[in-house]
Amino acid sequence: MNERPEPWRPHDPSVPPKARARPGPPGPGRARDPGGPGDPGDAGRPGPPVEIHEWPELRGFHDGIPDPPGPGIVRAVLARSALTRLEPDEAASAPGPYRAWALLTMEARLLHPAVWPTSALVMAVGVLLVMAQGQAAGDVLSLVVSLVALAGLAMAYGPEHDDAFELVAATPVSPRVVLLARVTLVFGYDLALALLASAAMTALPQGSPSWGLMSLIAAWLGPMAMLAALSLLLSVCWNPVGAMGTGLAIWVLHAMTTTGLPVTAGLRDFWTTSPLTIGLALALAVAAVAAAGAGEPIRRVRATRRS
Amino acid sequence: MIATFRYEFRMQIRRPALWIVHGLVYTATAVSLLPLYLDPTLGRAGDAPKTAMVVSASLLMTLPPMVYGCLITDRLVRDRRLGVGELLDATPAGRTSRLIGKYLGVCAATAVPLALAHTGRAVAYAITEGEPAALGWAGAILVLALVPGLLFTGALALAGPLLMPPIPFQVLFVAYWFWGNVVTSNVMPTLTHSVLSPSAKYVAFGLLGHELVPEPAPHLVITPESTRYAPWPDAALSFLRPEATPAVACLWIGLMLGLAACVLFLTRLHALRTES
Repeated sequence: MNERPEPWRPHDPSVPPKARARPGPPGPGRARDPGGPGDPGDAGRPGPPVEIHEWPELRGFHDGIPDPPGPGIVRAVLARSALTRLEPDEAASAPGPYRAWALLTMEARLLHPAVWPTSALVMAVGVLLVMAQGQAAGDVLSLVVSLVALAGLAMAYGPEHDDAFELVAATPVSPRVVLLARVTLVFGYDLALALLASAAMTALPQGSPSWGLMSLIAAWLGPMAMLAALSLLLSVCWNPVGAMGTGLAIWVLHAMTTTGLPVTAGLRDFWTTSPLTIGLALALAVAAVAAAGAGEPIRRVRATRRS
Repeated sequence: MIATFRYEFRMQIRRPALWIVHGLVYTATAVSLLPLYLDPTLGRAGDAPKTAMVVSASLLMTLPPMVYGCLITDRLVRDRRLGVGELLDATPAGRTSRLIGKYLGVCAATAVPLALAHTGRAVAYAITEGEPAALGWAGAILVLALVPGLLFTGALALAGPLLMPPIPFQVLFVAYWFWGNVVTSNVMPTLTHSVLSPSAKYVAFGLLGHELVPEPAPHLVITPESTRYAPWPDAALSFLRPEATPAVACLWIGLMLGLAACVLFLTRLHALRTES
């Protein structure tokens, strides 16, 4: 006849909740019962349930614990993850600029850290090349600036280069707002670098003072905006590699024209700062923002929705 | 090493992107430079097959190597991304032999479309012009002038993504290729036509005795600087552009192979550091 005791089941619904405490070592006032949990000869065998209040270290542990939060905690945590340093109630009532700044700082952490030094390094190399031989400052700067912008924007948005993409997508913040925040960061950084490079070229005697600041800016602003917007739209609707490849193909075609080779002569008309190029860049950027979160990218049609 | 070479070659040669992108870029190059593609002899009567194949190789080394390098960039970091690095470490092959096998296999597979384009142009020329000697010149140029440059380019593209993610490296690689192999010295200081340029034609000019006509045909765009292989006047870094001689051609081949070996050695050192 089997005399072994009934195994202790921690989740047995027949056991009262207060009695579902883990068995513990004997306290100072407890006698060690033969066959009890403290018996060395009974190692591994679960003992009978012990009241949690019998643990002197945990006395009062259960008392005073608030009730578990309701479903609202999920929304509160997600809102806090998007707007840190603010309590959920404060986040809703915080002023708009502060919320925008908080969003920008959080998104800056999610962008790939290689974007910032690489952009600055490429820009610095471009400035040095112009200073070494400043005859074609506008051409060189427009090539360098547009290359930096297209690469940065191609990597700014999408699950391929963002490990936190799905986490961010689960926050209450709209994907379009996230995209705008990242575009602001990357394009703003590249724009600041380009302005700094232009100022350095015109100010330093080794640069190209003959160009003038405004003419130098006009040489790169339109191509930079257009290539960046095209790269952004393709990375949202297609994928970053396709965006990069298409942007690089256009960039190389234009770059070939600086070598004197007869490459698609009409391309130079688009490589200027004009109402046409700025308007085209704006249209492409608006299309990218509208496409963000509106549907699935081309590369994964019906990946998440069957209909 | 042989096994690694074989599976890396097969994996790369079966990528649809390899054929699609190479085809698009080579077609774009040929269309953009159509006069040069249709009349590669530059109007010369003597040594026409050699001139045609040198010009054909020059076209091939203008834009397609950008694609060649970009398609190699993800090969080394791919094992780590797919999580098969430890699995490969458990095989009897050592890390050095696997690196060499991967390098040679990937470079060979990625160069197949370039070799086919070069050989196809030679076959077409040999048939249309009745010059079978073009096939021999095409083979010699492929081995002596194209392979060393592609080996160095492949090593650079394979190792570069160890320093940064593949996509930014691809952008920098395209910028490097344009700066160091395409742009002329009147735009910016460049490595074009120097002994450090993978697309330099020292073998053609110094070893194979190729010469450009002093007055090229009017429909051909040939800058005066590109008609001679010698230090460019008033250009920066001209000390890297010695006069083309057989010795300098051999020096260029040695530099390309040596630089490729150095890059692979640094790659192996990087792997040793991560192992420890």
